[in-house]
Amino acid sequence: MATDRAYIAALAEKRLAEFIKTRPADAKQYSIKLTSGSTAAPIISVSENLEHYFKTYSKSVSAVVGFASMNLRMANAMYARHHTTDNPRRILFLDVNDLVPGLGELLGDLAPDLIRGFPSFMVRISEHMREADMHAVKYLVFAGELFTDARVTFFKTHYPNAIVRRMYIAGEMGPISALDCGHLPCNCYHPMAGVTLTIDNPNELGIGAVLVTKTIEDGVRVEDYRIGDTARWRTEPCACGAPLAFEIMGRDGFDYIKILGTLLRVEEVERVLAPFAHRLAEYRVEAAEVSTDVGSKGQLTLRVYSPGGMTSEAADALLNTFADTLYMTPTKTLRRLIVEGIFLPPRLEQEPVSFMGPGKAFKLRFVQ
Amino acid sequence: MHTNPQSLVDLLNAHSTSWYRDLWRGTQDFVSLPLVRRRQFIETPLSRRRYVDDRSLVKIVHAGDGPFLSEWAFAHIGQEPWGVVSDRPMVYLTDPHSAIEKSMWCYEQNRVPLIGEKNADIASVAATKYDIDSLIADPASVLRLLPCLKSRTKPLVALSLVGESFDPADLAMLRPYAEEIRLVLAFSETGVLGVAPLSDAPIFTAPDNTLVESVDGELVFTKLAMLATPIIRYGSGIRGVLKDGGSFVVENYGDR
Repeated sequence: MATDRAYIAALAEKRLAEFIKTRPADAKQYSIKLTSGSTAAPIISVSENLEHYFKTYSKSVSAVVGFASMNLRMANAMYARHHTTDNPRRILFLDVNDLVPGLGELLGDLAPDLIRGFPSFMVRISEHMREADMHAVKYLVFAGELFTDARVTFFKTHYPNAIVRRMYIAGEMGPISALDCGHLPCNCYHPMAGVTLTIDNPNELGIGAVLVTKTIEDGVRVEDYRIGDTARWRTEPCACGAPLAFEIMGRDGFDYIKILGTLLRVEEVERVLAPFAHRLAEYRVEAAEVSTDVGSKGQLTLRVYSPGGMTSEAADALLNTFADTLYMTPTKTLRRLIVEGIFLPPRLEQEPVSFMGPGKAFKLRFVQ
Repeated sequence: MHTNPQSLVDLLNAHSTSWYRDLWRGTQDFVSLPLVRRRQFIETPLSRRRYVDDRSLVKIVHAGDGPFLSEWAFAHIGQEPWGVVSDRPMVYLTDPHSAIEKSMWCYEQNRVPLIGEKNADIASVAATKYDIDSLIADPASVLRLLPCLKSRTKPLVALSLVGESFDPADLAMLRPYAEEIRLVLAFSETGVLGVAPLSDAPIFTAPDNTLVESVDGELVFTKLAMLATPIIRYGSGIRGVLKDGGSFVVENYGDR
């Protein structure tokens, strides 16, 4: 029988209640953990500080970590403190508030050889780093977001000497993939030993919802747990010899939004807005279905933070480019969908201050 | 811990890292050493003022004159009196670097901390579910947890408020929520300078590893430990009066 999120939450609550009753003899073995809340209300649980999360630190002397979640930062700090034989010697946790003038000099002083975090936040960190310091980085370790071709190119260009490592982890389930073997393309992973994956209700491309079966802490078996991502099996053999590999296709509501028979994809939004990157410090596209006199229509709102603001001419140019060049089906732009009466013209809302946090950059949002 | 500051000065004068030696320009005697100030931390890269290479946490300190790095070995973090040891501590601080540091302090006391997420609603829910019994916060962050504290049926064992300055009159309203309220005077680069029970006129006690002097009315601090960047005759900018037994009263927290 499939395990649902409510069951996982109840399990976590029970475990936490038992943990509270008796103070552990060795505190460093445990941490209080919260899921990210990207899928639903966060689950609070007690977790064992598992070494296999952080094996990638073992060769680092100076590590920089960029995660929004405070409890995830703590888990990393605990590993740096207790679970390495020698390294890392020092660890710095970067916060969105640290992205200030002068950060590049500080990071040059620290000379990190490993950077770990969400890809989108690591791009923002990179904007502050000097070229020589990025070239000195030996390891990039990613988690938490889908990779796009643009990001792969970005990291290859800016960190030419870095070995890239990725792992597929769900907050409430722990690791699902093995640490990547180095032979698979981005977003592709081998299942971790002891994990069974099912692709539920695949479409004609083989893409369906990911269901995970594994034994989590305390020996509890979780069956066919829907983690909220979509994936497909890879048919090509892997050079490492592992028999199974899957490709994560994205997270519903994060990497794409289905609306009125169209697909709003984050990669497409990034492509369209790339010419405005110098002006847009932050942006998010909010999609909504709105009721009109002639039925339901889609509407996209471009929420932006542009330091210093934008003139009305610049705002008009941005909106026109957005509508004219954003493809929402293989053949139709947003403009075409407006002409066909499926969408209303897009709106622009300028935020006076920074509104996005570190970590996962939620560039798409479906508004009920 | 060094029992007297002169032995530490002698070590630093002989150390391969020359930062203090350069600042002191040949001065050997502790009481004659020029004061070191935050400005000099800002001006000097961490790599040129690192005296210990140990497993450590690096923080970014956002000072008014610019950011700088402060490094603390995990073992030294554990020696600072950031909080009161209790079974289920929570750390909820405005500065995320400081929050990691104080959470690591809890672990050094063999306690599992709850580190508060930035979102106060999520932090409050987690605090309730973990049934926290003590809190390390700052005067601003504790206000964001006030609804959570008000909803509790019993007060916390202790509330430790970490800051560079305090207004006791503003903090008096927190009294119902903790059996003990501690004011922990500290700078990111120095660690704890003094701890005082909340009162109208707090009397701070310097930690065991901290020597406090008054130089022309300014409180000057020395940490008797070989920290990553040692603290030797640190001019705090705080105007105060020394009392008996390493305690002091602040007259003016200064303009940092």
